[in-house]
Amino acid sequence: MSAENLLAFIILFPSLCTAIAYFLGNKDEKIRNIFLIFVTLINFVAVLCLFKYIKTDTVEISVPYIMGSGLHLKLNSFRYIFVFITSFVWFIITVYSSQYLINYIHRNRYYLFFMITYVSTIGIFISENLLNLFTFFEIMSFASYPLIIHDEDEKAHSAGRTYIIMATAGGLVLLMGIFILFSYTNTLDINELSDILPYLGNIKYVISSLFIIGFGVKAGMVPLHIWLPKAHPAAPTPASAILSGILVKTGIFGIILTVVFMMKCDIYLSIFLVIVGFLNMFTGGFLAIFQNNIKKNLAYSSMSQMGYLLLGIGCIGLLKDHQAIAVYGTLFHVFNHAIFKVMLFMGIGIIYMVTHKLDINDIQGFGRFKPVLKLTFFIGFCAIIGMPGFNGFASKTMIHHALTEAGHLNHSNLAIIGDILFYVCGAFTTAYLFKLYTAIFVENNSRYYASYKKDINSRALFPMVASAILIVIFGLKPNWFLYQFEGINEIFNLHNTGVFDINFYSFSNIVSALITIGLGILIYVFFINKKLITIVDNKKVYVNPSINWFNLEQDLYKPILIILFKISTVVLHVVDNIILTFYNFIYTLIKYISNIEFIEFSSLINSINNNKKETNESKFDYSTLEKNIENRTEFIKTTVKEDLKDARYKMNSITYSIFLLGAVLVFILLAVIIFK
Amino acid sequence: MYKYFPLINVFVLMITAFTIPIVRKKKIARELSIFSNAVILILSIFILVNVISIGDFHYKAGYPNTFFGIDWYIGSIESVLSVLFAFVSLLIVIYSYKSIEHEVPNEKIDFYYILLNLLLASLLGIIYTNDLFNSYVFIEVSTLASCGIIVIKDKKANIKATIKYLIMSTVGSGLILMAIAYIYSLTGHLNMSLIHEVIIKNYTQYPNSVLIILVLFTVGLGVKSAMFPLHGWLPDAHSSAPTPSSALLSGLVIKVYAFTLIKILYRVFSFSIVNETIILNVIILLGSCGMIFGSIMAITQKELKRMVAYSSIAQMGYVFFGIGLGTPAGVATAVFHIVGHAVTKSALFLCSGLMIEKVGSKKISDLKGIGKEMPLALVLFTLGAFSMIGIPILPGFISKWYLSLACIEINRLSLVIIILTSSILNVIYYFPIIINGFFGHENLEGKVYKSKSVSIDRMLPIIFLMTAMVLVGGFSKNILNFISTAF
Repeated sequence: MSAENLLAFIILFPSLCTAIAYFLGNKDEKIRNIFLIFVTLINFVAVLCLFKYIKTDTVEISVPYIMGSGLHLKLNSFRYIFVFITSFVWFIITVYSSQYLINYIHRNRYYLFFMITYVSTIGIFISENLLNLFTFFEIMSFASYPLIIHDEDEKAHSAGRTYIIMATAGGLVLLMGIFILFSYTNTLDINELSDILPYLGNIKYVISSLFIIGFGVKAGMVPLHIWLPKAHPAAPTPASAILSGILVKTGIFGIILTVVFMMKCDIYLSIFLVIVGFLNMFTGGFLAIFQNNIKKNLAYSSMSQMGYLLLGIGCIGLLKDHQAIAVYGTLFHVFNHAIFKVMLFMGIGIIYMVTHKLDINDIQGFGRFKPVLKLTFFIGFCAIIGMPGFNGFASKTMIHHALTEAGHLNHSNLAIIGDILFYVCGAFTTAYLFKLYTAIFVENNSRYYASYKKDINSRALFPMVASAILIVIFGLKPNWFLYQFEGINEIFNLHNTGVFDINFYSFSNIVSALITIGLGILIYVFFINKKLITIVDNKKVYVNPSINWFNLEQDLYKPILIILFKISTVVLHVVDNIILTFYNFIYTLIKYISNIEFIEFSSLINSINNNKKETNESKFDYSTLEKNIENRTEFIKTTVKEDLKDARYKMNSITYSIFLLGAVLVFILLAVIIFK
Repeated sequence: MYKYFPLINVFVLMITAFTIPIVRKKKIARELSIFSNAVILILSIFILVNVISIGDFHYKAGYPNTFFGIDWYIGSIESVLSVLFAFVSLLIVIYSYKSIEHEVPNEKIDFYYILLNLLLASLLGIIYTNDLFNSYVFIEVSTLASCGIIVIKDKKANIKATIKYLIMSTVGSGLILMAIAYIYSLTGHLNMSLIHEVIIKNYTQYPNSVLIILVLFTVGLGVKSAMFPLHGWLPDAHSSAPTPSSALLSGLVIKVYAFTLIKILYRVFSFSIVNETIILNVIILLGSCGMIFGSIMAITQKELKRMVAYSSIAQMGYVFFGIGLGTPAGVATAVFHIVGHAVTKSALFLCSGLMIEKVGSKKISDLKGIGKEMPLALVLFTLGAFSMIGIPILPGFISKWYLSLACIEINRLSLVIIILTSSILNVIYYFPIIINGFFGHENLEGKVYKSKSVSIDRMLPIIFLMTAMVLVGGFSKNILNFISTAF
């Protein structure tokens, strides 16, 4: 198969199979599960086959005259990273779902939207045309909604509501951006836009801000993140895993396209992204420490990790000619985060499958005697905190290097603050995951001594083991991974290619990683142990004081919306009343005029004539007329209304119609000749 | 071969019209009429295809280029209108197949079909002809035939309305004849193209005569196409006539005179001559007045068909508005509005006819809750009303849009306000019917769902018309481009 056909295949094949799977699912669920596992596997293999084409080259498909401005798909090594993690994660999650969902209802619906989300996500990553990208983006937003509300309980619907409002609003903001962009540039091709957009003047900041807000909602950017910690706990675990592992990456992908490609690394946007990145890292990590719901903990963790990515993108802009390390660091972290976060979610899912509980107090000590689960979870834990030897270490080190270099390059005093913040946020990561790990796998709890083999089989454990292996491989051989994607050099116009020769396991790197981890353990020992754990009946109980803290959604957004609504109600009410009063005034005025009584002219004449007859005088006697007018007895009175009615009736008659015709003819003739 | 198609069209209709009295069977009369209309539609489509592929053509009979010669010219507008008229008239005849007994006395049904065929023949003749006197003859035939299809109901109101229409129309015809005589005395020709050649050279010598001719044509044709203050006959005639007649009169007959006016202003004379006079301003003034006052009078009506008839006056205002702009864009939009309005208004009349027939009352107030009893009919009515109001995609919106663009093109922004006002007024009289028909619990109490709905074969013509309307809206760009090639 040629490269173009393969590219079309990876999007058309799963969409066709989605429909087949839906009908299969109505007949037999088992066959459907196996079918879908094979579909995602074949697609994954197809993506792997594409690798040899994109290593140095670009694969493009362009079909004009469809989807509005034509369909333009493109795959290069930069996009390949996203497509690869999508197809890989979807494959392992499909395997995992077949086990996880056994006790759920509406499975067919779940798989339908699961697959639609899959197709649209791949579509986002390979669209070169902004309108295609937007279309896939919206399909993905709406298709993931049924996944979030799958349980259909109060909590799920509340989360779903927040998600759908945020996603729709984000989509509309993005669309607005696309509209403005198109009206200025007349093209939607990302490649062509990079030659036009940076030279547009100040409007480019309006456009790019709209884009960043639209994509930022998906990426969980502070303060647009409020849907993220709500949706993750509410969704079934496989759905949480793809939300956290892949869907948030679509936002990151969009921001990379906007800032790095379309805006050519604009300096102001880069600074903005660095700040937002730190905010995300800090808020996400800080709030994660307090969470007792393990999924919520991981959700905040995702937010914090998105902060690393935003920081990385910001650094790409700040580093100018030396951006290679930031580019590779960010993309490597995209890859790593997808794998370890999905793995952690799957581990949690296994716990949930057995216990049906998510609160850390209920599942304390669950994993103490479960070696496979414990080991894989430990690998994930090490990866996310950046323990040397695991993949998270490599990418975080690279982002850290990028940050330090950016500080050097710009001779900024803020660099030291950034460095400290970086350590602190890394320490937060260690602290909240250490809390999770000790609570689940170190504590002793006699309730969970029993084996879980009857609930869990290899279909749930295989995906975890597979991703654990990947984590270790990429952790030990990061340079090998980076070398595979040297095509990125050309795409990002990188000059400095020293990035492949970085010695990750140098003394200073290992020391800084260990400092971070040490700090994290200190936070655990001195803060979490002291403040967040109380002993009740000889048992540790984790408390979460942050529940009563300031909540962005409840305490800020909702009141603002309510106040705005009330103000607009009042304003519109006033406007309404003004219009109504005006209308009433006109109405009464017309009514008043139409009811004015006056004496009909003919009866006046009659009265005069009668008068003449009575008095038998040729001379007109005004005094009697005045008397008559005073008495108002002899006159026929009429109102404007009656007169108008009369006139209308007369107008409708044949005679008057002819008169009118004549009058019009004369009028037009005169007008034409006089004003010629 | 296709050059004879226009002639065959007119002759087929006339011959069937005169065979019907020989047959004297109602069923055969109807089927003959439907058959002839179908033939016309097919031939018209052939003509349209030929005009699209080959270009416009003349058909000349008698002694070409002399006083006796008859010259028919088929260009893009003519071919479009010919298909439109054949299509609408075919659907109206099919509709009348099931409905006409309800309104026309039994013994007059075959006579009714004679008149219908004659009317369509004369309308097509008016469209095709390139000869002034020829067009006058067809205008007279069409006037008498339309009087016939109004009076056929044999009620007091019909006779009164017909007399009024007849007298007004005859005065109009007199003015037209006067204008033709005048123009003949000036140029010595009756053929429009020949007159054009002469007039373009010599019009500066007779400035006043040209003006008078223009005024006579405008007023004469204005009476017949219900230009605003001369519309007096229309509400009576259109509301009292049998439903298929109303649809035909409002949808097609009044349009054809407006098209004749376009031919005279822009083909006999020319854009440059007409733009030098004030006549266009008068036409735009009367058109605007029609748009506003037609709507206002529609608001005050209490009977459904009368309201729809007044709405026709307002819509003719748009056509005159477009003509009066005096630019190719404006006139093309006016023609497009003729097309869009023909399908919409005929469908609206057929819908209201059905509703009136089932409810048994002409009053708008009695139609409350009709949406529950006849959902499909009211849905179709709503669709038509949406087009009149100007909901995007539907043709009503598109003609308003392009009229506004044409106004902006010649820097007369104030005219856009008139278009907007008239749209709002349209909402005021169409929406109460729809809202009262569909919603409002007090209206719907005691009404049984679909209790008054009619069989689908009676609804089919309306559905086809509405589909055609949506298609006209959808392909508006192509239609407008094709029409614009005429100028």
